Amino acid sequence: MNARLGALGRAVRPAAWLLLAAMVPAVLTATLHPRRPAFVTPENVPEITVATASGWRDTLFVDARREADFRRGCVPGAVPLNEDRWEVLLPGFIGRWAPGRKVVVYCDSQKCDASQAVARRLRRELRINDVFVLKGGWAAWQAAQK
Amino acid sequence: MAGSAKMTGLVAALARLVLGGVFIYAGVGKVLDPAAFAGDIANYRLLPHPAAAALAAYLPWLEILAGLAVFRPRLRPGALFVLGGLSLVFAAAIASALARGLDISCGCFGHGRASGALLGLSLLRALVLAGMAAVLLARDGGGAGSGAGAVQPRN
Repeated sequence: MNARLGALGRAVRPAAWLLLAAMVPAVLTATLHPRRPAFVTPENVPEITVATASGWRDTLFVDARREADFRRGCVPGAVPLNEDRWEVLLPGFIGRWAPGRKVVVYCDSQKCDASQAVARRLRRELRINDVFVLKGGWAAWQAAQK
Repeated sequence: MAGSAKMTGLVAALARLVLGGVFIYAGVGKVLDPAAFAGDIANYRLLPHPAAAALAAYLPWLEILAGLAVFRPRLRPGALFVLGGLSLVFAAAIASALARGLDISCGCFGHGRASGALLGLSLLRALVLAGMAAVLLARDGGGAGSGAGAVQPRN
């Protein structure tokens, strides 16, 4: 027991040095990295219900789930686009979108964040303003079809 | 007896290589895109966004430095302590996400990496890494390692 406590004691000081040393590159990352994290809470993309989305004409649905889930079933006409394969899937989205067309992004359910992440990215990187998130996601869509 | 000590030493060296290598690889993946990693942390819904952003800038460097320090005998106990602690924290966060039914990417190796797909496997991996760090720390707690240079008990 004493040996184990001794081992822990010998670990604490070098551990403290490591914890401190990591702060230097961390500060540089936070201030200079081209992909540095934003310290401001990102604004959530507005959510719309299935009823509202269904009532819009010429809506482009974007499926932000994993591709395996997309292949098992999706909103009719939806195009897959997720952050895991963004560069690969983006051309498919661009080929289907046209200026003025509303985009509605969905993921599994209300508990997933993929749809908000994809929607924010579409707004930020492609400057598309008419992007919304489907409230309740795929689960809500399926429930509404019953 | 000398043979088994040598074998134990080899196994420990391999374990250090795996542990250090995994964390260096994980840290580098996150350092490439800290903004995306901040999003992954925020998805766990455990911290406010500014705290997630600060961790996204800090954690990858801690992983890289501690991963490298595993290979330096004088720093090894501290590195193992840090890596074990990090693994336990990651495991707790993943377990929390699983318990709340969150459908999120692990973020363990940077954003959008294939290993993020299955949280359950990520939890298992974190626990295995924590166990490895704990065993190595108990074994190597002398700092210079319990390998060839250590005093062996007399038969």
